[in-house]
Amino acid sequence: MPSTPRNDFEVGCALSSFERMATKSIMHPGCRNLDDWDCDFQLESWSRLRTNRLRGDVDSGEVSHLFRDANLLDHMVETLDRLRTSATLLQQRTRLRLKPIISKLSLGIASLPDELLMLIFELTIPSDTGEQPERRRPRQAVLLSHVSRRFRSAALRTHYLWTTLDGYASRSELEAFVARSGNDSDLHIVLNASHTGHIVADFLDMCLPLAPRWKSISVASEGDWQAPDTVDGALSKIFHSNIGEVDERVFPRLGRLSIKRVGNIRLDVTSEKIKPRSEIPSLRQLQCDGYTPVPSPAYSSVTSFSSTISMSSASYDTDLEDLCLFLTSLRAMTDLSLTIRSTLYFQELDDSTRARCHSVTSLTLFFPFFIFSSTMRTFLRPLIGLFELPNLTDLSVSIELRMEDIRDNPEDEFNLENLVAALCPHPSTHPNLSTVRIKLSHTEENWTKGQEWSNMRSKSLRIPLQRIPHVTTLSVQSFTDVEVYGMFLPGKSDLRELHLVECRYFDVASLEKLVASLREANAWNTLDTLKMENCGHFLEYDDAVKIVGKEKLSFAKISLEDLL
Amino acid sequence: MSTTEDKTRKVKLVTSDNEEFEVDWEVATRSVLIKHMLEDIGESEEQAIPLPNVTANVLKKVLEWCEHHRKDPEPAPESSDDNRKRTLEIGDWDAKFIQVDQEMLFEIILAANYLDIKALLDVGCKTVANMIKGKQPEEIRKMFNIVNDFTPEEEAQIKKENEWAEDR
Repeated sequence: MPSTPRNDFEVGCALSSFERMATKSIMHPGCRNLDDWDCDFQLESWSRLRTNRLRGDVDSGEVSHLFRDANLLDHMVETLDRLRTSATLLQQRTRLRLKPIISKLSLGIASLPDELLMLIFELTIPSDTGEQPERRRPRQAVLLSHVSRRFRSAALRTHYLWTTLDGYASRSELEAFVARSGNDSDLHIVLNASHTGHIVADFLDMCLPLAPRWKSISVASEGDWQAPDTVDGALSKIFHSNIGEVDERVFPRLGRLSIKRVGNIRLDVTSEKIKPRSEIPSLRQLQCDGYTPVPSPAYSSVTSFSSTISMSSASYDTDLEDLCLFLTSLRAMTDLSLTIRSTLYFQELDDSTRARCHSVTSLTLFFPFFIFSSTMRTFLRPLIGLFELPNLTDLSVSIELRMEDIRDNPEDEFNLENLVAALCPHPSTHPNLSTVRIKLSHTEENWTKGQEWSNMRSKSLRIPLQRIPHVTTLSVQSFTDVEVYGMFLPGKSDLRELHLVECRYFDVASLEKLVASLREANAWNTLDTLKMENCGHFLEYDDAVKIVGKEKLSFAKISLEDLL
Repeated sequence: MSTTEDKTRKVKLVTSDNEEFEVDWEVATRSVLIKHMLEDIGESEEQAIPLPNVTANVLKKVLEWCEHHRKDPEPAPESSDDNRKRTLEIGDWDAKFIQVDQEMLFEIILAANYLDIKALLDVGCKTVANMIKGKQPEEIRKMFNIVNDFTPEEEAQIKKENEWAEDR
């Protein structure tokens, strides 16, 4: 096959380079590196090959010389690689050895004034996150105060370190914490409701007189089949001084209440759920895990409610009814966040079961360990249908697929499409929805599933733009490709910003496919920005800008090297 | 409030080791201290701002941060304190920026405090907080070359306090 002029040019360039190298070996025979490798470049062979290659009259001796030279070059590259690795290792070792010497020479942390040391101490204490890091807070305070005299002095003056009163603490510890927390700082109460009654009672006896200083309460019950459900018991002790009597206690600062019930707890069907009677004026955040409170005036000021729900097939209908009833009662709620452990056995509930939350503007849904199958929409669509949120503006949905459900089914792409369609609410019920975030992830890699996952990654997460016609900002994070579908009249799409976040397997073809789908949907010309954050291990700015164009593209990437 | 004229202005800064840096007004005024000094000296472009508590190598690093964050919105005056307590997370760029040896880390913290750059002070303090969080006293001493200088009486008290954790 005749070579093209371009190929000829490239081959010519390569051969010229070899020739130059050979010349160098002749001009500098004492060059140590070349000597070391017994370098024997044949300048004449290279020159003749360059001159005669088109005529095909290069003799076999010259060719063998050339092969030898090529081997030698391979060897040189390999040796240079090894040298580079050794040099990097040496550099790292030197840095490591220098580190303690430098830190000994400098004043280090001793150079910081007390107020900065105290600020650092405060930062070591995680704030109200609603999980259980509160348990670690008291320990952190003690650890810092045991380092040195200066650390102790600074720690004892950092009142915030000592403001978590933990139900596990002994009386002497609690007394020390209260004394060190200052006169009027906010207090955070962490109560383990699974403790035997008298321990909870003793703890509360000590803490309740300080109720006006309480900023947050975290009640957790980690029971088993033998334990009674003690969450309500503990809440009752907190909110009702005497069960059955009207609560007169006031919590002027209480801003966050967290209730967690985990494990297989034997529910005492004869006991009623606690219903705090008084209003808690500052209560803004309510976080529940495995527990749905009953409507109460105490929660009337709550603006943010998050809940983790595990729906068992036995009681999902009553669980959902309770949840809907409670959500409807939260008149001030603007932010709703639900973590739902999925089930496939969902049946439509009757029309009266609806969460009518007119004040909610932001909804976050997270489905961990989601069972990926063709029947999942029979679970999702009715579930999404339960929520009436006419003022919703922000929707975030995160789905974590279970690795073991991936079978490389030909219907996977269709199932993914159904999954997203089921999660996008009908536009007529959510006319104000303007921002949507979709995240598709999976549980940990399972190498036995390597091929199936590899095939799954090349599938597309297809987003129905017509289900979200008023959305101006769409953010997608996925391990698959991403496409949109649906069609607008030219110029009628409201989508202005599309964010791709950590779509790690995105490549040139993925991006081309996405842009083509946007064009097809008539959503490309009206799009202002396509923002890519840490997308594609092998997708660089130069590739992306060719496809997207400079005007629309916003590209940010932290390389793996940087992270390491 | 900055004007368009301000944004094109250059500012001269002189470090404790007499090195001069010329930077954009927008970059220099990430520092509240410099901003106030510039307001005090008015329009005089020639006058250099002396920074007697900052050396050239530290200022270079601080200006690198200011350059990267030149467009960031100004932090709210007081509410930021409360937010700062909420999380120990540091952005990707800041995390990479602050990967320096201990000496430089503490120099940056001191400079950020002196120059009144709250967001940079946060990055530095959160980095140190992350280093000491959950560590045993002995590990913290080793990490920062701190001498255990407790008196016997204090040691006794500490021993007593250690029992708090053992009781659980």
